[in-house]
Amino acid sequence: MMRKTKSTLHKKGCLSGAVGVAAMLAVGCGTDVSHTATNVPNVPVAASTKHYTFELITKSNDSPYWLAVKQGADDAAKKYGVTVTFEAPATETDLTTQLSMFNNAVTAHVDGVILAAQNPSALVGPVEHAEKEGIPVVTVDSGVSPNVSDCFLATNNISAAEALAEYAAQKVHGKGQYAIIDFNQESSTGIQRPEGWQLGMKKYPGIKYVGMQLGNNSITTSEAEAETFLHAHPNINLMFGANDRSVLGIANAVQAMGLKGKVFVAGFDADMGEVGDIKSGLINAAILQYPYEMGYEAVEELVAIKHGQHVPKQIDTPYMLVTTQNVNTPAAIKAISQYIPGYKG
Amino acid sequence: MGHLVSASTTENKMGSTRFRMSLRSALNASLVFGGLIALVVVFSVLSKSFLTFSNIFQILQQVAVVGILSIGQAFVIITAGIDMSQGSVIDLVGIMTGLLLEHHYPIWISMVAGLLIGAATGFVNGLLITLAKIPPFIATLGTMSIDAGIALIIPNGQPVFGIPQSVYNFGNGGVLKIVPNIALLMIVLAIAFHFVLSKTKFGRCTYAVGSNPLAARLSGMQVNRHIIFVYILSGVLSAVGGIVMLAWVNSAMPDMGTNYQLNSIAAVVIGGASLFGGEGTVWGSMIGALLMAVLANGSQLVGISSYWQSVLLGIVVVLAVFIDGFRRRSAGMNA
Repeated sequence: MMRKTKSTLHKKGCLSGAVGVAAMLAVGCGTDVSHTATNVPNVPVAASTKHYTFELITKSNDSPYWLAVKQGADDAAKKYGVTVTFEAPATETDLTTQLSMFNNAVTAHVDGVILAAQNPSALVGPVEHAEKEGIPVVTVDSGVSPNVSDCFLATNNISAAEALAEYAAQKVHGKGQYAIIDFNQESSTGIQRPEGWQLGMKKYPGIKYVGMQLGNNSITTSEAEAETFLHAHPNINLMFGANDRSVLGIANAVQAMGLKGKVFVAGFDADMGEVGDIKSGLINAAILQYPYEMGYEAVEELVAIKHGQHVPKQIDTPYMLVTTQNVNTPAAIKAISQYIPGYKG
Repeated sequence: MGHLVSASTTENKMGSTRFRMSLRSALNASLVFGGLIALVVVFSVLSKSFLTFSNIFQILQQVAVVGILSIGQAFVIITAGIDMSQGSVIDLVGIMTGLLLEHHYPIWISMVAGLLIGAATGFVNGLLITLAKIPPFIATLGTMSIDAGIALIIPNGQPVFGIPQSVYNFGNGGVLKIVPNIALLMIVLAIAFHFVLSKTKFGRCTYAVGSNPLAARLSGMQVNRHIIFVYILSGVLSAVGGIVMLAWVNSAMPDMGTNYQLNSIAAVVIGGASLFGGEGTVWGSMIGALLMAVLANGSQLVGISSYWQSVLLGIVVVLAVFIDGFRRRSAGMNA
């Protein structure tokens, strides 16, 4: 995978440590864990002649994940001397409100919009309209399809899941059987994470694939499916849950069947329950994303666009592989606190 | 509750009561209209992009769904009922019509199927309220949950894409770039049902059922049948709202309409209707819906955070009802 090499990493002291750890933990060769490149605006900090106002519109206004995006955007705004206003619907499914907020921002002629789209198709027209009006749009986490925005910043779910798979495969010494619990097969993340996992597993032919079930974003469904897998295939020594709820279901099943330590459990994202399970060793490894970085870099990209610089159409944001071994390190605590505000370890 | 209160009034008082009530409704609606004008002035001063053609287009587009729902909700509330199922009808109609369109069924068949789902939900609401004697709030709360559940079951919780371009164009286009098509539809429906409510036997019957069901029955009205029709009307208009939303957002999500009934109830109440029945207008409800849309749009343009917007909206609803109740009490003392 080609990418530009200039990194924003050093400009963001607060996270560079965490990213470094993420890079260190990247197992296998060539997987892209390291911080990806962006066109950092070559402008003196806070020296713009015009004061820019950007609007950040996330999927909802009360989840720690989106508030982490907001925090990143706010910090970048302070650094570059711009203003970032925040708008978001109360729930992640209130599409008409998000649409209205986006259109209102365009009407208000803000200098740029950062958007996490609730739905990839509904926002295509409005984003195109904004671009036509000369308002740059940077999408974060969830973009629009086709990507008509200037720049899309998100975790590369395929490579993250691939790195996780390789780490897990090495931990079970390349032998055994594995099963997957996905949360859905419609969203891009639901498709790409198992895909990336399978890519990683291909390199370990000693580990056999048993099957995949959909947990429909429900812990209890995921748990029942994991138990069925473990009953039917007693030789399973590795399980992958594609998001927080899927992996929590697996962890519950492993605990209920007394298989802790015998089955390696790998997952995505973090909530309080998942972090507890990582600490106790019930979940052995999880990929944590960097919503803070998404917000921070999105502002940087908008500033760059405003100064007439070319920015890449797509940018991979970093992630961190948190394991039972490193869960108490400052870097991991920093990463977890993006999901759980005030988390101190 | 409204039935009990109004049952104590006698039939011969009905005429004068209705006259006073419609006067009060008109007065309240004009008061809210004044509030709306004041908001427009304030936002125009504070934001130079507020009073522009493109923003007026936005506001009208944003008000269309709630406006269409408010028409049905107004009829229901005037009969002293309430329709909590409107939002879930949007969910279910959006999903069903969306799936039919995705599978290349003709557009008119997909739409008629959606309208039938709305009518069926309304019919069930009406039967539960009149035959099973379940209070409107509980009956429609039940169908709300049922419709919301089916909307999740059918697509297995997943959104529906693949809406034809022509449908999308209707949902996002407009006349002369000033009036969006979907707002035009709302205006046409509002005018038609304003006429039905104020000038036809069906309208008079709606007021009569709400202000005094006993008197209405004694004067030969088919009260139960009328209530069922009113809920079917609300269901069908909710279905129209669902189709409009589908066309507007170019996709359907299983819970995209959830809780929209709260907006339509607020619009109807801001517009001068009484939850005790017998009072309310389509015109007032439209003003109420427009007031909420202007408040949301304008406060974003002037930079009020979305958290505070919710607080503001709550204050407006409470204030509107308070002023109405205050006048109602003083009017009662004068009588």
